[in-house]
Amino acid sequence: MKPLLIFRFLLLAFFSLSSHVYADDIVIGMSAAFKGPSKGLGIELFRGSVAYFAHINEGGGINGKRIVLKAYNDGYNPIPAIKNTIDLVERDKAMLLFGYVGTPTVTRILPLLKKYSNMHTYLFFPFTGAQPQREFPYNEYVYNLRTSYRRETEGLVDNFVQIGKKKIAIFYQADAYGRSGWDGVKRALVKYNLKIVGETTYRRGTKYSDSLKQQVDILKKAKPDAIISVGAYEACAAFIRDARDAGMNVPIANVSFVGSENLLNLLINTSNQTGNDYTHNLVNSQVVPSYEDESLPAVKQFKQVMDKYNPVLPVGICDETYKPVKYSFVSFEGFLNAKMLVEILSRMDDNIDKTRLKDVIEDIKDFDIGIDTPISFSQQKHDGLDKVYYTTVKQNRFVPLKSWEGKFK
Amino acid sequence: MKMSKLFKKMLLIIIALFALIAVTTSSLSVWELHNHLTREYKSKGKAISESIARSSVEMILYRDASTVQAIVDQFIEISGVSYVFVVDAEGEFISHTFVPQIPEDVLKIVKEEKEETEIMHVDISEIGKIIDIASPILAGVVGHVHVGMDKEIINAHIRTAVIKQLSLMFAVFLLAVTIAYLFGNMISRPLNRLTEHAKELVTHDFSTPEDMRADIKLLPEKSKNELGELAESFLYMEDSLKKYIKELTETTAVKEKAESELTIARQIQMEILPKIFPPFPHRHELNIFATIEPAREVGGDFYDFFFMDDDIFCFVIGDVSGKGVPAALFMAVTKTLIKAASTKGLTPDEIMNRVNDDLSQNNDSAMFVTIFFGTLDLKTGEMLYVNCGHNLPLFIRQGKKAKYMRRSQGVIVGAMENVEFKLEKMFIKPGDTVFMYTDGVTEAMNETNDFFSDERLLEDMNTMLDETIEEKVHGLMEKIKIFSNEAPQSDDITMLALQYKGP
Repeated sequence: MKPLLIFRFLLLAFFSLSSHVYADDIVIGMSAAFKGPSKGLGIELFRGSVAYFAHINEGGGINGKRIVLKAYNDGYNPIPAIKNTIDLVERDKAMLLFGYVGTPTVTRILPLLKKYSNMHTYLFFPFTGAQPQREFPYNEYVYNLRTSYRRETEGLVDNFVQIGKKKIAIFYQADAYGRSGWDGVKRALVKYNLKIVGETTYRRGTKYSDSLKQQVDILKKAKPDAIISVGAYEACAAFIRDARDAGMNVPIANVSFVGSENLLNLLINTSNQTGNDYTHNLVNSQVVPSYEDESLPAVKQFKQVMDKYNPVLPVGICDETYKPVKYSFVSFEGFLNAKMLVEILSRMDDNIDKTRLKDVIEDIKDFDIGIDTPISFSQQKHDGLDKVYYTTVKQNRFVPLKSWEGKFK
Repeated sequence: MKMSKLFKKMLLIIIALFALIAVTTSSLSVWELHNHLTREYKSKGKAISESIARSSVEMILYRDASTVQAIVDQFIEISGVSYVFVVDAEGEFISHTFVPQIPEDVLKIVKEEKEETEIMHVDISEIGKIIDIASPILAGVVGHVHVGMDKEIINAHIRTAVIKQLSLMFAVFLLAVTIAYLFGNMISRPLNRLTEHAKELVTHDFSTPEDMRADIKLLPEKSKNELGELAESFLYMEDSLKKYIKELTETTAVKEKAESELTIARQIQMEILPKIFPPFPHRHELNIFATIEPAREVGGDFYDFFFMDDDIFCFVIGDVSGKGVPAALFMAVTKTLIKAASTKGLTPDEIMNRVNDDLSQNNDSAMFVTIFFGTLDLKTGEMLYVNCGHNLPLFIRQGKKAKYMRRSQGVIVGAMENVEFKLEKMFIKPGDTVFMYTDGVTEAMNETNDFFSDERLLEDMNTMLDETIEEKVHGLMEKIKIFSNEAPQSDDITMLALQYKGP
């Protein structure tokens, strides 16, 4: 409770240039992890979005209205996420909710959206691929830009099976997020009449410094061909470290939520310290294209605004010791989320009204956001993108994975 | 202050009692709490399990596993809930909260089909003791919900409660000990005072000054209980003792006085007997030696010797009947009368007649005396003597063995008047010895009440024939003492030895 009280007065920042909220500002609300082991996700997502909003605001906003992003920290925990949502809707009168991070948090605030449905409160582009917001009865109140974990895990399983890696084990977070990934892997394997050969969980909030040897030992016994890891970057990095240390060199795949750059940075640090290479045989599924692909107009624009505005951390609500990553899949996703939202808001012209949101967004067809993939929404289709991108580490950077065969066989 | 013994005992009893109470009440509490908490936990777990079972039907049927997981995750926060998991009708896990994996023991539980909520006590090696509550979802067609309630929390609660209870009991125990200590002191202080006083009594010879017992005297009034009664009895005993001791002291003083008078009488009595030997150093015709070993009680033995004229030497040994002052007086009178009656020209029988007559007259106490009285003519060796009921003397002829002198008729002196004493006459030669003694010698007793006896006297004398008369007397006395050993001497032992050495 107390930190929340403090937040109210510190009034968390918005974006870089403005600290005041005016009557005709477009207030959008965000609750994410800005502290704790998943802070990198919330902060990078925030930075990517804020960079684009700053760019729009600097250009006069949308029909003269500034976009103000109000953010609160929930530390990746459901109860604070619920409280933040209530505050954002009831007190801050946020027009819409935007850029939430995490499955356990988002899953728990879904009933609030139903509760606030008479106020036309929608959640836009949460940073999670979980099913609950994609299914009845809550799919109505949520619009996703990214695709689902089910798609991500299905893609990973498909690719592994195709190159003959049929014994797939899973390492996952013991909560709704992990369960979502676990469920996706399980369903994907059913297609091939296969089962998960080994599974192990970890507790949410596990730090990189914690040992995950126990989990490694459990999976080692299953002798898997590949491991799919559904977790947050600190725990997943620790798992990779301990698995490699234990001599498990099978491919380890992480899903988009992990925060690829944060994961990689931890592993590179340890590699540098110990001299062992912890970055080999990794594959990360992404829901946005690689920000290294400068042939994409959106990538160019993303780098421009990031360079130009280099958004600071959300004031007062985040762990100040965090070192921002210059570009990342997460901030790129934040950027794309912001760009999509701006497109929706712009389509309302000078009549920006939240009651019209649903109609406007569901009317978007084949919108080119600059990543060479058209985006469409409809009453049935609330996921803007369907595509999953696969990346792997090369020279300490995530690059697109061209050939699964070549990489892993 | 030293802990009183009474208090120590009381403390032991209190400790034992409290230990008993602590053990019994703690056991009861543990039992009660355990039952109660287990019941509570079961009902809590049942509520959770059934509520998940009811609310998850649609989710399992229509929604994905993460939705169920989100529900399940909410309950794991509740205190006491160790795990929650949902399995489908085939026993496949839909959601669970185990980290890092589902324990083997849990997989075993799942295999059992349940038609209604079931509660099981299971021991899961990775987690511990658990109450597993399983509820069927839609009668088990959809699946089952399992909620594991951690028994360790129950035990922790019990531990806390028992510790609190024991702390309280310990506090009460300390209070009780303090009270017992104070109360014990209240009782033991006067008791200790009584004990001290009793010890003082002895060191003060039961003559404690009154002010020293003032506090004791207050006790019966202060304590109207057994303690008061004890003090009262004690005071009564003390007073009685004091009274008795006072009487005893007085009696003893009187007795001591009497005894000292008797001792003086004894001394006077002994002093009238000749004690200087040789008594007539210028007379070479004879040797004489005598000794008397007085018994503790005043007796009536005596001896005497004197010259009737230049040639006639008188000697006498006697034993007055009875003991005590009367005997002593009678002996003194007898000795005096004998000496007074021994005038020149009288023979021993005539002298004894006179003595007897004098003693017999007015002898209301009917006392008498045995006497051996003789005269020796130093020129001729003619010895005249009368034996008035006395022990036979020994006669030792020079170079021969000792033998008892001839028995002669003689009656005791002082019993009646006008009796005849038979005069005996014998001649002794130079070197011959006459040994006279009283019955204290032959009737000396040892510890087994045997007499020294006439035979032993004769025997012993015969072993000392060559020795001087003085050595003979001392030697015999020695032998008698050896014979008697520790046995008390009941009568005077008197010996008189006379040796004629010639004119």
